[in-house]
Amino acid sequence: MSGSDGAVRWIRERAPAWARVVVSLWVVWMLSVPPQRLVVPGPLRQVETLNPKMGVHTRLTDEVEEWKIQQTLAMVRQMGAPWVVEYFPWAYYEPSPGRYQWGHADVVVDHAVAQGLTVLARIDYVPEWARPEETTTRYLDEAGYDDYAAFVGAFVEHFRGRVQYVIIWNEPNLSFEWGYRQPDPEGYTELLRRAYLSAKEANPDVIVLAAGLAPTLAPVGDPWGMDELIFMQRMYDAGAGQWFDGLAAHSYGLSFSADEPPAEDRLNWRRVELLRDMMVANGDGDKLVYITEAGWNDHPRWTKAVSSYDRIQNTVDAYEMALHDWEWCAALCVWAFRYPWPARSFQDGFTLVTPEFVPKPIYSELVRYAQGEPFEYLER
Amino acid sequence: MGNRRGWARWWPLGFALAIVAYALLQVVGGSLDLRLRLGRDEVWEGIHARGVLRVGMEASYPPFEFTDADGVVQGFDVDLARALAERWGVEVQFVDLHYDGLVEALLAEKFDLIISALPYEERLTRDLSYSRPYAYLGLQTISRSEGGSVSQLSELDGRVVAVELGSEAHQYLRLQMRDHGLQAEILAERTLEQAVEALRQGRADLVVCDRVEAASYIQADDLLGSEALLTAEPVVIAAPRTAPTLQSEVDAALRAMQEDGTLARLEQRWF
Repeated sequence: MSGSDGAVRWIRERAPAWARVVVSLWVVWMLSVPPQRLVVPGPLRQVETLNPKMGVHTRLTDEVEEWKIQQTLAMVRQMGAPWVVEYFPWAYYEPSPGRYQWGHADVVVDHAVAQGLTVLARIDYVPEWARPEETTTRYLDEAGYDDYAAFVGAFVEHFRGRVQYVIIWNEPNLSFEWGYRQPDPEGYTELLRRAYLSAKEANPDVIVLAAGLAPTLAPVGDPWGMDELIFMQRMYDAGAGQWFDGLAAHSYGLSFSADEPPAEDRLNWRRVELLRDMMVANGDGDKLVYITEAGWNDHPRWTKAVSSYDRIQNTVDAYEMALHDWEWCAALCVWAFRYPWPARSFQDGFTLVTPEFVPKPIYSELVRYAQGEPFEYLER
Repeated sequence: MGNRRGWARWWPLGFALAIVAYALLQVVGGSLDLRLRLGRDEVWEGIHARGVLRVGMEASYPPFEFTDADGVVQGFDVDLARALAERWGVEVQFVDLHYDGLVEALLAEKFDLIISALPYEERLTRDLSYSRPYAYLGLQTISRSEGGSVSQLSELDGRVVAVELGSEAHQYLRLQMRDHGLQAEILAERTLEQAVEALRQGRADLVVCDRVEAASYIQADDLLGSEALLTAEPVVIAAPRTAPTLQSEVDAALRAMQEDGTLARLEQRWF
C-alpha cells in the first residue's frame, strides 16, 4: 500500500469530520484554480545585434504573470537590444524596515539574465514607513536618506553578479518626483552621496548612475520643476561629481527629428548633448552617459507626437547616432517596450509592442535594423 | 473518540460563525465608506471657500485640451470645466501638468478634479472616484457613401481595410486577425490622408481610424462614418476618493448637461 493510499484511508476512516471538510474544501479550491504555465528561465541566450548600444525601458514592475515577463524579455533579445532599464520600487521590496521580499524582482532579473540582457535598475518609490503621513510615494526627507541608502546597499548585495548598474532616484528635478516639494539639487546630491557609499560598500564593482533628469524648461522657482541644465550644474556645485560613476539621462525627441540641433531653450532628442558638455566642463568627461528613457510618440492627437513612420525613422537615426557619433553614450534605452495593460491615452504611442504582444511596425523595423536586413516600411 | 464526536457536532457551528465574522468584516469595511459618504467633503467646501474650481489637465491633447497661439487653454474639456464651474457659481482655474503626474497631484490636493480626456481605470478606484462618462473615444470605420456604413467587426471579413501605419487601428486589426479569426487584408499607409485616398480610389473598401480623426473626413459627401464605434472607451472626470459630495455634484451636472444638450453641443463644436 502506498503512502498516499494510506493517507486517503486514514482520512476516510479515522479523521475527524472537521478535517474531512477542510480537505474537501482544499480539493475543491485546488480544482477551481486554473493551471499555471510552467516557466523557467532556460539556458543562457545571447543578443545578436549590429548595434550593441540598443536598449529599451521595460515595464515589468506590475507584470504579474511570469510567462509575460519571460516573453517580454525574449522579444527584447530578439529585437537585438542588449540593454534593459527596469524599475524596482523600494516600497515593493522592503515593506517594513529591514524585511526584504525580492521574489518578483528575482523573477524579472533572472529572466533578463537568461536572455543575455544587461539590467539597469532604477530604484525609488518610498514605502509608507519611511515617510510622513499624507505624503506621496516620492517624498523622502533627509531623515529617510539613510533608509533609502540601506535599501540600495541591500539591493546591490542581493543582486551581486546579476545587476551591475543602479540608478539613484528618478527625475528629481520635477516636483512630482520629489514629493511635491521644490526640486532641491543640493538635497538630491546628499541622497546620491549616501546611496553611492552604501552601494559601494555592498559591492565596490557596482556602477552607480545619477538619476535621469526630466528634460524641462521650467525656470528656478517654478512650482512644478526645474530646468535640468540648471539642476545638474547645481549638483556639480554641491560636489555630486564624486558620487556617481555614470549619468543616466532622459532624452525625448517630441515633435522634432533626430538631427534637430540642441539648444538651451528647446526640448529635443539632442538636448542630451548639452548635459554631456556640462559633464566635460565639470571634469567628468571620462564618465559615460546611459540614456535610460528616450524616443518619440506616435499618437495621432498628442501635440508632441510624430507620425508612426517618422517615429520609426527618428528612432533608427537615434540608434545610429548613439552608435557612430556619441562615443560617450554607452546605451540608448527607448521608452517603453510594452505596458502590462493599455494606457488608453496618448501614452500608448510610446510602446513598441502592445500589451497582447502584437509587435508594432516600429518593433519589426528595429529587428531588421539590428540584424542588417532590408526594412519593410522605411525607405532608406 | 468522544472528543472527535464533539468536533463533528461543533464544526458546522464554527463554520457558520466564520461566515458571520466574514460578513461582519464586510459590513464594517462598508461602513467606513458610509462614514466617508456621510462626512464632510473638504474638497467641495474648499472650492466654494476659494470661489475657484481648480482643474488639472495636460493641455496637449486636442480637441480635448490644448494651448492656442495666444497661450490660452482651449478645447472640449476646457469648455466642460467652465460649464461645471458656472453651474456651481465659481471661477475656474486650469493647472497644466504632465499627464503622468496628474493623479498624484490630485491626491496631493494641487487641484480638485482631473478633466483631461481621462480613461476609466479600474486599478485606480481605491484612490479616485470616476464620474459617469461624458464622451466616448474609439475606432470608427469610414466607407464610401454608396457602399453603406459598416459598424460590425465581422463585416470587415474579406475586405481591404486601409489604416495609418502603426496606428491604434492598425494594431487592433492585427490583434483581431491573430487572435479572433478576422480575415481582412490590411493596407497600411504612411498617413491617414493616404489611407482615405486609397478608399476613394477603390484600392481599399474601408478605413478604420480614431473616432475624432474620422470626424473631419466623414463630413465630406462621398464618405460615410459608421454609426457605432468598433471599440468604445469612456472618457471620465476624476475626483479624489475623499470627495464624495464633489463626485455626486459632478455626476449630477453631467447628467443635466446630457439632458439639456450641452454635451452634444460640445461634441459638435470640438469633434
